[in-house]
Amino acid sequence: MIRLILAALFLALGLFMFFSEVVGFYKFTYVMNRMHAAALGDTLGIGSILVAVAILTGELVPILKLVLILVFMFLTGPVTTHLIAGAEVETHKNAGHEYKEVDRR
Amino acid sequence: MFIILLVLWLIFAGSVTVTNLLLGALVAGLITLLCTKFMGYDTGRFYRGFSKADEIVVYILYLLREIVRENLDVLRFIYRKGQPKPMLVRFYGGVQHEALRVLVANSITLTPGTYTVKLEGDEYAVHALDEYFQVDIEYSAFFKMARKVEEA
Repeated sequence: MIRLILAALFLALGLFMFFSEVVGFYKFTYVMNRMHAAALGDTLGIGSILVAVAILTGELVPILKLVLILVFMFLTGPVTTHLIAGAEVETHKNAGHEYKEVDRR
Repeated sequence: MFIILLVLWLIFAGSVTVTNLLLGALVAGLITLLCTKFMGYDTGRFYRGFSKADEIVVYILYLLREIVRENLDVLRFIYRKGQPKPMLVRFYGGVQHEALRVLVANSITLTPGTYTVKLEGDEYAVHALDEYFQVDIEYSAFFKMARKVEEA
């Protein structure tokens, strides 16, 4: 019973993170700000849902597979973010209006 | 690499039986052999990395803590009135090793609120959702840990 409640709590947290991701996506107006909102679901959202599923299964091999999913998500997620952000900065000529540039070199 | 591939094989196979072990060892050995022979893979360097296992564990725990903390910070900005004031900060990381630079850049991107736009040599360009996220980013624990590993 406790296991079920704990899993439900983590599942609710994950769903809330995905909901907030969508809210943030519509609230922020510029693509580079929206990507910050999109990161919520990729990290804590998927993380807590996988924890909930791991609590529900409770067996070693499926849990290891879930850990693998998380590891691959964490390894590949930043690459796509990096590529989208790089493309926006390179191609959008007036992108400078959307953010303040600070040079601390 | 051989051990990691073998463990991966066993996880995907779902059980530790003699057939799985033998077949896994064969495939993992073949891949390791091909990688060392044709792709310049250094097995010795990989195993020497295990001497820094304690630092890796500390780093992963710190990364997970930061992910949760910054998630809550970004949540605050989403449910608050008004738009955030985004920034693009350029700075030198002070990390020499290429793999460590990429690791730190990936960690910055993984924590919501900041992500690396560009990494050229030691020069980072990091986009922050608000001024709040970029304060002293080049002195953050990610860079400190990377420099510490480098010195060791």
